[in-house]
Amino acid sequence: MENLDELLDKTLAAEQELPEGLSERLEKQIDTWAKAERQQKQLVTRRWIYWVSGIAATILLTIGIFRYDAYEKEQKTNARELADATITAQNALQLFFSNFNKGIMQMDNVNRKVDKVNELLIEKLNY
Amino acid sequence: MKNFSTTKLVMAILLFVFGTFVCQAQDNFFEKYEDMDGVTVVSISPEMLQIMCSMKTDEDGLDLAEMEITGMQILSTERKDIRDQMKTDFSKMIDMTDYKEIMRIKDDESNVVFYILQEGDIINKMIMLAEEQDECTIIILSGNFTMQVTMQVAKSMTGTN
Repeated sequence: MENLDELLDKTLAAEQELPEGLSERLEKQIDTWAKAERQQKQLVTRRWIYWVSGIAATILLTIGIFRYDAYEKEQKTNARELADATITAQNALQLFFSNFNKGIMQMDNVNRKVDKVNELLIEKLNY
Repeated sequence: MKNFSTTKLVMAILLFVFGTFVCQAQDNFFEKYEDMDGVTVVSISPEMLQIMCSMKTDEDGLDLAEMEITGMQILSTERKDIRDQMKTDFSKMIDMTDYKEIMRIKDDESNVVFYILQEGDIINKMIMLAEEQDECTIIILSGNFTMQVTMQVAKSMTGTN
């Protein structure tokens, strides 16, 4: 009976004693799992961020391209309108001054003729 | 002394009112035609004119900058019905304001009339009404210039210096 008790005590003592380093290994393993879980969560979050960033970048790029295209078209239109306005203004000024000059030239011609007539009259009157 | 100041004040007010009236009449005339189909309207800003005036017209002659042009408006149409209406309205505007006819040139191709609005020797506005066979053009030059300078610029621009 004593032997049986002794054996039982030994067995219980043996069961209570964990193998050396098991606890650390278990903690390490649990930490690893926790870390892996965190990493997994971070990965999912990061993936979402990448997706959202990618979509946002694509939208921005598309808007940018369209806006640049519209801006370029507007610039071209403005440049064309400016060039047209310049040509119109130059033509208008040319028309204005050529007509003005036409009148002045006629006036000069008349003045020259009057001067000639005056000279002839003076000549005739002197002789 | 007091009377002199009052006279000057009255003159200034009258000049201001008259100036406003002239501008208003001209603006109304332009406003009527600027949105009309078949009418070409070009208004050149002072900035644009500065760029254009900086271009030399002739190496020996005067450039446009000498004329101190501050604005240019062009009205042009080829439509017969609008041409007639435009001429009538233009005559009304000229009658209502203090423009003076200075030159009329008529030949086989066109009938051109020049009007000016001046203060002393300085011309503030010069208008050309050109009627051609199928077109009527009105050009208004605003600024501060004399007749002498205008004649010289006209000669240098048309190469008859």
